[in-house]
Amino acid sequence: MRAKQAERVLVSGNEAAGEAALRAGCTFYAGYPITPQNRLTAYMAEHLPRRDGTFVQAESEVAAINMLYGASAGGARCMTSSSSPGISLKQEGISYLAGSELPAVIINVQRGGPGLGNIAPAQSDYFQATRGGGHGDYRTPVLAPATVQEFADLTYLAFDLADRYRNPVMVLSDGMIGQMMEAVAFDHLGPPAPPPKPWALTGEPGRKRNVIKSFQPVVEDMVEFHKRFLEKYARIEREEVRFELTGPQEAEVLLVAYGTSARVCRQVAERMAGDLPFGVALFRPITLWPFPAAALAHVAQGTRGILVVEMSAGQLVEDVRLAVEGACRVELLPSPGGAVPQAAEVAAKLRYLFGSQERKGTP
Amino acid sequence: MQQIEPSELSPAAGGGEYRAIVAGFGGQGILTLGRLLCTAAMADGRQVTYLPSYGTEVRGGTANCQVVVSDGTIYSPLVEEADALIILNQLSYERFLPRLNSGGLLVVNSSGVDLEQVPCPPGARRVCVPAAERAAELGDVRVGNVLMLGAFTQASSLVSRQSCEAALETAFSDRKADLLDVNKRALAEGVHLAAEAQHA
Repeated sequence: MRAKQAERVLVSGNEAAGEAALRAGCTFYAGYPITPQNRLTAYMAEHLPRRDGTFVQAESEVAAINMLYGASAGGARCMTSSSSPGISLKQEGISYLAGSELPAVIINVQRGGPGLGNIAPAQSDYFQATRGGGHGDYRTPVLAPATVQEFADLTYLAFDLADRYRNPVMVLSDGMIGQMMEAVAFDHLGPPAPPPKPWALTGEPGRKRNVIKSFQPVVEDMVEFHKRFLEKYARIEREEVRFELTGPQEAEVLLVAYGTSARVCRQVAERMAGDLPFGVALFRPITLWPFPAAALAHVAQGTRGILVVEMSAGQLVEDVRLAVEGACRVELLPSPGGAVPQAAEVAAKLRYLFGSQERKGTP
Repeated sequence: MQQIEPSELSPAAGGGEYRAIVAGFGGQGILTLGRLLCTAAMADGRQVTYLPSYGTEVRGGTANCQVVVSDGTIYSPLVEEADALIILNQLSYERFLPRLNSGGLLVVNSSGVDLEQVPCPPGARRVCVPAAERAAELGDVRVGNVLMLGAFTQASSLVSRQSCEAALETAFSDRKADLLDVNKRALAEGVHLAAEAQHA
């Protein structure tokens, strides 16, 4: 926390997420350092012990996620964070958390990949985050912030969703939202109210024995388990979809983007309107899973087409195509490898694709 | 299903936006300078974004940060075209000069930049202050960045002097309180030098 001006403070996204986690009642954090999310681990190291929580710098990402398994089984609100290569290492543990129906919050401050990649902001873990990531039929709700404030708000929300559905929840940020600073308010993130956890392993004598496991050797048991899973996921898809629509009401063309690319697109939709021969609106998914498919299909009706802008090679665009089911044209402006698209680049692509009279230059 | 209302950080959306790049060596206090500027602008009631870039660089390598100050919502925190450059070393001067808007403001640490080598682009307003030398004379070479902040404040009128002082008081409190005085003197010296340079 740096300077105080009224109730807002200038903090980085990583610090904001850490503070929000503490306000959500996170009492256990385990992590392993990796850029560009290091300030988040550092924030938890500094502040969690002071608030009677437990911070562990684990020996590896794999150890950290499995420490969450234990903490969550014991009933604690818990969190880990990492950046792309580290999140890959955690996938086995996330699958086990999901299979054991254990709530946990996992923050991914994405960087360029594949492999060790680089430390620039990227959005190339979209498939991994929204399709489960680890093995087995499971889903994790994925929340995607576009501002430092929203990084705080969604981290706070992630704890509630994790407990409500007994499921790991991922906050999918990126190196820009993680490292940049903006003015953030925290006062609205009230005292945490975690639900009772009668299933937790508390060692309490006298009650029925609680068992937490993902191992289901009897096929019929696993089938029953999956029926419940399907119901749970259907409920999340009904109740937890979030998105934002900005720009003119009667837009001819729709931009679809999340996180950092959505900031650039919003600039195009709201500030460059005069430069474009047609109205452009921005549809920003806030939950990447559940994807706001029905809402997008509705908004897309009557438009001339969609341009998807993502800091990846063509991942989000697949969900957009699934959502509109061929009802309109869906184009892609990919920006993989750690490059942030520029507003002028987006505007040029829009003009090239949808500017009927003036198809002069190349995008 | 929840449609979130667009977040409006300030009712005065679309208002004047000022974009600046602060750049120099790692260790020159580049990032601190950027944060102080943002803190001061916030105190003036403006919106801010601060985007540091330190990559895999180390002390002695390059460091820069991009600062946007606005009356309305700030979309991209990246500064592709800068209204001002605050430059503390030669390498950064050469690297970022092409990003300066025509008619933009250049505040240069002349102790670290050979002004002969890189002429001022036509139309740009250049304010040169020997920040490192004067900082040493003030008794602490580390305050060169705050001296540059003072010079920028005077040359740009982007933030108020009072807000800069308040930002210093917040930044240099508790364990660092003994550094407040020399930093305040550095700020004042920067303001003074820039005023002199402007009238020269």
